[in-house]
Amino acid sequence: MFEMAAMRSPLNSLHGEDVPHVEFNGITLTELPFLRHYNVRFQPDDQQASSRFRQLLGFDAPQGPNIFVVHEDNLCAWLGPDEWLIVTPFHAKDSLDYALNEFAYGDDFVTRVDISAAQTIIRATGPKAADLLGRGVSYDLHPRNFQAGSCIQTVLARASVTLFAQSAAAVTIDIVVRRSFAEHLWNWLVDAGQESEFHSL
Amino acid sequence: MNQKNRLPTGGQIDRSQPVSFQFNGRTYGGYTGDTVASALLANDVKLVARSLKYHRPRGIMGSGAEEPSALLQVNRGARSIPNLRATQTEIYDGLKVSSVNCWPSVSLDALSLMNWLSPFLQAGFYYKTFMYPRKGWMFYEKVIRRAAGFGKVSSEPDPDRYDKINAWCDVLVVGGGPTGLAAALGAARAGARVMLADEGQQFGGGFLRTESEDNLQWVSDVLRELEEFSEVRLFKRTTVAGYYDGNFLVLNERLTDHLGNATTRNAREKIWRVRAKQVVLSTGAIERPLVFASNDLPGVMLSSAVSDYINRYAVKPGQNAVIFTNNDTAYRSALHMLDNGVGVGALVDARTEISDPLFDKLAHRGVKMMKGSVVVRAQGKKSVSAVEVMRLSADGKSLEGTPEKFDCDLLAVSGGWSPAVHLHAQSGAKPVFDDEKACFVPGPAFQNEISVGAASGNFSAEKAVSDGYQAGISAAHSAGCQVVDLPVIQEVSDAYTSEYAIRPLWQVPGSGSSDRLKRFVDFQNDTTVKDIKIAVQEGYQSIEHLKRYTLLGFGTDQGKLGNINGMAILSEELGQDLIQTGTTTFRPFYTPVTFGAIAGREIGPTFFDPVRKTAMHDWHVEHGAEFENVGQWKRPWYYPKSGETMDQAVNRECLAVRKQVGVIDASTLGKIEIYGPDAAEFLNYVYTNSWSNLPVGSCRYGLMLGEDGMIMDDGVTAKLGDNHFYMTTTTGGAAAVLSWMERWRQTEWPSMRVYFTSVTDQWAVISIAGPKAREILTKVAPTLDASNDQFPFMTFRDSVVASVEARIFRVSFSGELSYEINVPSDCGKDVWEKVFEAGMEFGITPYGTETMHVLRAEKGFIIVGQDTDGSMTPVDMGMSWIVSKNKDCLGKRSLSRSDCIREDRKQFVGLLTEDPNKVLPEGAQLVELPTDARPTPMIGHVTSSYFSASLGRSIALAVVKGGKSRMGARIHSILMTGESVPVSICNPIFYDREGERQNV
Repeated sequence: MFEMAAMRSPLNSLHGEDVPHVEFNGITLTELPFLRHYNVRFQPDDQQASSRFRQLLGFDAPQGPNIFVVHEDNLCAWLGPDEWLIVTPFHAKDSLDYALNEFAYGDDFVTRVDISAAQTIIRATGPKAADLLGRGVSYDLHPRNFQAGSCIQTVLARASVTLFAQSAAAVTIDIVVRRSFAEHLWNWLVDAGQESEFHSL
Repeated sequence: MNQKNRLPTGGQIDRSQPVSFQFNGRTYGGYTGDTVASALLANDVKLVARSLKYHRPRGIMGSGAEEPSALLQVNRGARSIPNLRATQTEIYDGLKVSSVNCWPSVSLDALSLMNWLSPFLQAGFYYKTFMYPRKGWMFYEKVIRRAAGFGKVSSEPDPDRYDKINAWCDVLVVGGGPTGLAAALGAARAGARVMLADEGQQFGGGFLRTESEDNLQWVSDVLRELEEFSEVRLFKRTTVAGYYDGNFLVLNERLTDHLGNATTRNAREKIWRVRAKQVVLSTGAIERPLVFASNDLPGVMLSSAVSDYINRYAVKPGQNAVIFTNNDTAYRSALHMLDNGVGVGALVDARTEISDPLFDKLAHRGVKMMKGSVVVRAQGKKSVSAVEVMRLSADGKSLEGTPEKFDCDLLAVSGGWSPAVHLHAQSGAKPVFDDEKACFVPGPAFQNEISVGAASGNFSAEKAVSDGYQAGISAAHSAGCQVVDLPVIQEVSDAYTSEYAIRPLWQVPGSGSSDRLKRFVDFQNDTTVKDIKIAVQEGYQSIEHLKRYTLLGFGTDQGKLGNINGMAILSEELGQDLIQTGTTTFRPFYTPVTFGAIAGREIGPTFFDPVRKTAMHDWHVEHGAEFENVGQWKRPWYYPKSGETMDQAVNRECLAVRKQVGVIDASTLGKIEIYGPDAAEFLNYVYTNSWSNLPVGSCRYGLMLGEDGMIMDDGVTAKLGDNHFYMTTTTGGAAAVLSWMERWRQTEWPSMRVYFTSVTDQWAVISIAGPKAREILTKVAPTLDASNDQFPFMTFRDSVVASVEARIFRVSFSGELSYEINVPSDCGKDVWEKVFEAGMEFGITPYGTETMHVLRAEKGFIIVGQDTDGSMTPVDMGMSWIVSKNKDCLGKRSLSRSDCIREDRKQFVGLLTEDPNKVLPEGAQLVELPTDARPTPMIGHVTSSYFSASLGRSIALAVVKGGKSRMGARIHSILMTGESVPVSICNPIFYDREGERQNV
């Protein structure tokens, strides 16, 4: 087991403290550090694997493109026909670890890779958050187009990101970004926020 | 303030806000809402510019984007912008503008003697004259650039902020005149997401130049309603500059220029990258000038501009006018002049049949109405003082009668109207020629766009508003909006003249007395009728060639006024129809866009390219590292101690690794988890060597080739489990290798059961190297048996390092005993610090990429991309040992191509200089013997070169033709200085050739 004190998030917060957080123009940016991220791959037409997934995790891996489901602690996003991202809070790490280990056990074509330290999440909240992200995202984040429960893999400020539409009403967009790009993206977003005018989409 | 031409009432200016500004050093007054052009005219300033080539006096000809001559240098210093149109530059208190292209001043321009030299300066002059001697151009160019050219770009850094935004809408309406406003309203009422953009400071377009209060009221009513829709966005001062594939349009919004020097955090300009489902082009039309002798004099103005200045800006552009037209629209301007105290001496109309109801009205008010007549010549020195009028023959080819002279200080011209089809054409559609209206009108749409109003050739505009409204509704419908029971829009009464009859008149025939005088077609480039004739005589027939030869249509205005006249004159000269001549290509941008806006925020060290940092980055900064950019990564380059040079630091770091122990952050290496029953077989396909028999827990070096057989990437891959590998790639090649493997798996070998997951960012890599490395590892990983027996070279172990679960690889890129400790990046900095602390007693030394390069060069290890360049095979690099003979792999068959088995290919060797202190520059060329013969045959080049502290001398790696069989041969390296350095070819392994040190 790790010692907690040894952990440092990509945006340099220590575990449980100093979480980066800024507010401007009614937009809030904050890091959601130390969530557990797993890359899961299996064949979508593998009935056995699918049913074992349901049995062990309690839900079906989403089959449609660019959507995610939330089940209890776990968020599961479709990244490709045979690829998913599962995100869970730190405290739920052990039970998910256990379930995924069971899931992959004995099946040599089911993989789960722990990528918790490889990426982090920047949460943008506020009705004008989509307008802020629109400065860098070539995808229409209008709630009519980017509905709650959608996720897209795209490029923001030249960094590969996955965006999650967490809620439509009080616009919350989660940005999954690779660790090494996180500081760049954060700086870019804060810089974009210098503008005094943002609009609700 | 003295604004002698300002009308006492009216206009869209704000008389409660007087403004003073400077033009060419003199202070003038105006009002908020004025442009520089309207304010200068209010102050009776007519001469504002000098022309490009002949330095002829020029004034204000238009009132918008079409203005060819009145170009300004705006502001001084870092914020200075060249060549802004006076007609679109808003004034504010403290604005400083000056004329371009004149010295010492616009009225005393030294180069105006060019006008006297002009007979020698016609089309093709430069091409013909400055050809000889060939080297002379280097000199001529400087002089010509100075004489001909416009404003100057500031050489200071731009202090302003610029931004870019992506936006989506159902309907983008371009142009906020009556048609565009109605279109936006229709689309908005239908429930569409609407963007409406207008380049001006005010919506209203053509309505602003009418005298009608009703029209202006209508504009403000529509705007009020539009503002109530939450999904409608209105953009003023925003030019739709480009129209691209996929209904993708680029808008340039100017946010702060009109505010003066107010400090703001906001962007000065924004680029809007808009994806529109439907586009409504209500861009209006541009009035054409007429072509007659000296038609460029200040005081010659488009009749629509005259109406604009009178009605919109409350400025009289002159006192006594003559009007010269070939169509109906100028009649309305005549009325505007008369109603506001501008005398109209004569209205000269090329037509003989005129049905305009205003004809009688104007005659009744004392205007001399001259049917079937033309202005043949404008007279005056620095502005127009009189015009000569003659009768035009029935065929329009010659003049009749004797010239009649009219004194005037303003000549309003109207040669007809050209729809602004620029964006329509940019979208991929082809405008077609309308004979009746004598203009190009939009052709069939190529993308989802429609032109309406004057932009579609509907100049009568009786139905401009209802046409626009309907276009907006149907665009919304096409974009997917449910359209039900929308209210009808009320027609706005008699906005313009209701008829549009025109007698095409592309040039006024010569009159004998005026034949020597210039008849300008393109005012910005000083292109005359004669230039076009010369071009035709010299064989130019294509309009595109004519453009390049005569400059017709180049420049900041892109020929908005002159192009159509020029194309028509070319057609006349060639005796063909205008449609056969066609137009030149309409290219983005519609009007110039600043580089700042195009660059946006992606500038400077912070945002030009993403900066990627490792988990230990802060430690490196705290310990004084100098950084090197490797791809997008920041990597420690070396860690100078105070007072140390780079060479001293690198020598110290190298010796520390060879003698004690060093530590380097190797986190940037690409890392890929490979899972699946076919994983080993897949590696056999992508790597040159065999992976079938690698035991679990072992590592192996692999080389990857492109399909051409050339080295693409390399790295160590470990077998973590039966179906589980952990691949490392070069720092720069990580993304490319992952895509490469995914591509082969998905497109060529879909039946292979193997998955890849990038874990580059997951693992922080702390690499310790040196004789004391084991002692440190034993301290930080107490549960691990790190003995050579239990943990031999090229194996891997899972263990716990500094209480963190780690993967430890015993591999070496330095030739020393070395361990790469991989821990999850969250713990990277903490573990690094603990390793460093544990190493203190052994003299642990942090080292950077430079030392890493020296150490591996001493060992002859290649760096893909430095020692190879995409043209090197494994055989070339002396690595045939790694190409398995028993299996196939990507690129292997290319190695047997005849070119790949040539014996004189460049081959990888070591080089030693005769002078051990001489360090060759990397990239230096190699020759057999220094000789004066040119070209000297190059036999290779230096790929890596360093001073090796361990060896006490310089070493270099190189590729030399047939080098492998030339060990010991003496060749020469030629430096940039011309110096030749003798070197001898040697084995590329300089240090520990037996490889014992890494196996201890």
